[in-house]
Amino acid sequence: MIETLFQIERDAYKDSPVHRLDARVKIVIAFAAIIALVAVPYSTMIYSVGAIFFLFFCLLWACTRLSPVIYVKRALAIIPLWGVIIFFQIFLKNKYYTTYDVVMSLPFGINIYAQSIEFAFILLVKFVVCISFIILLSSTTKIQDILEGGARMGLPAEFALALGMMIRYLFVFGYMLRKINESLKTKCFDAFDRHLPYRYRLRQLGYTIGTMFIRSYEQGERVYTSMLCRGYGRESYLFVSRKPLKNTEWAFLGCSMLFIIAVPITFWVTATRLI
Amino acid sequence: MHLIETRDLCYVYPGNVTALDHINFIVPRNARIAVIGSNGAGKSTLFKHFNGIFKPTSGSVLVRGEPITKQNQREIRKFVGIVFQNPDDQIFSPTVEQDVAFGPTNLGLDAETIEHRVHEALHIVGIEHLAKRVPHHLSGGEKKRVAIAGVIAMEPEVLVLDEPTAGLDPRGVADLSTFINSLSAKYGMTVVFSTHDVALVPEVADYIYVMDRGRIVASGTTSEIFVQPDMLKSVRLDVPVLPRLLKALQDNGVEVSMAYTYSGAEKSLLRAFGKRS
Repeated sequence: MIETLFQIERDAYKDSPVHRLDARVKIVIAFAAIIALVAVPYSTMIYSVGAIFFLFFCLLWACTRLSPVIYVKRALAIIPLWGVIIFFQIFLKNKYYTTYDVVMSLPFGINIYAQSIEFAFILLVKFVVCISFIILLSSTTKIQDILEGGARMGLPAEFALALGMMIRYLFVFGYMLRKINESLKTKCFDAFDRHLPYRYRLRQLGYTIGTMFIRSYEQGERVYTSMLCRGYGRESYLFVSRKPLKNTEWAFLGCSMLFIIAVPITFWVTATRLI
Repeated sequence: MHLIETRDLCYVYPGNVTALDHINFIVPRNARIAVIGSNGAGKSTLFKHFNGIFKPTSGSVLVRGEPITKQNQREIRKFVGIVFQNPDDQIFSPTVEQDVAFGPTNLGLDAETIEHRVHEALHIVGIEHLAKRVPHHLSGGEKKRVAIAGVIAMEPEVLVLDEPTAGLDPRGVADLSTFINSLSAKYGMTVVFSTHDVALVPEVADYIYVMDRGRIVASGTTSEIFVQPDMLKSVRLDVPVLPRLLKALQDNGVEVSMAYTYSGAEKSLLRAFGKRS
């Protein structure tokens, strides 16, 4: 897990036209795409809108010079989170349909409905495209740039400071965990080694997790002391220098926003006229 | 009036562990003071009293002749800057620039002044090129410089460095020694630092305090402290290599004058061996 964090960071440090874009541009595009997709009514119209948005995402991803495998791996990593939610929709009725046709009946009165399957597909399209834009943002923007971008767009100072510290210590503890793992390996400890008693392995892992907790507590104490030494108080905030957007970034942002707004509206207007 | 003065300062940690025992410590203007002592001697605990992080169990701490109160606490933390031993404790912002800006931001300065101070502080410690970098991509020495820059950006008059050489390579130690001397000579800053590295002390300090088990067991100039090998050994320290070597030569009949710094020892030995007048 922690290695994934370092891998995301390595990808974000690569160079491409998308990487070079100001974080604010990428944040706005990603969130605009998500809002546009979420705003599209629950109908089969989403298939067309989703396909066009996904093509837009693919075009941007191609510009990042990152391997599509990276995207697929990251999207799959999130499956346990959203895949289960989507899968269970096929058994449930929802407010978007008035009639339900049973496709299959299972024991204990559980049914699979045609309309629920359609709803699950609609959700799937929305999830996949939304997550794709988040993956694009995280894979091409350094975490600190996302924070700075957020702060420049008006993220409250308290959040920015707390998030900044979270980012900093995420990596400090990442390295700490890596060192603990190396130390365990040096002492020939493998949590999956079946030759070692199960209880012993569990106990050692417990000690490791406990050590991390204690060290994080101690680290917190020391950091707070050093913050006080540098005048930390109620009015403290994360300093972010001014950085105006370039003309090319404005142009790209404008075109992208036009596209993101125009596509769903066009499909919605067309569908409304047909009705 | 001294910049910092402690009078019979005592501090007891929870669990009744006495960390400081009647400490009388004086920091005059533009001085370079070394506090030496073994692990657990109380050096870091003493330093945390200088800007009100720790409150004395008994005794007092005076900064510019005034006791530290809640009202003047912020002003005192601006006046006395402390750099901790582990830079990871002190660098908590996502980028170097933001971290160095943390102190000036807390002083309520405007954006332009903050940027100027950040630029100046990074320039003084020679790491302007690292401004946009993230701390976890830096080496130990670079992190140490960032931590120092973060404190210097607040423009303190007294800079307190807790074990500044810990974890540094020989080049890093040499750079730090030059840097500490320049702070005093060029910027008129008063520097107090703790170390185990006795060889560094004559190069950087005018005055030395020796601590052991929460007490000050000796204080004086380099020549006064490093002529007491038995006292230093009793507190798990030692005389630096150069004066020890010169003393051994003197004891063996070589007419060589005592010196404590590298340049002083070089001159002394060249003179003794007739290479230079």
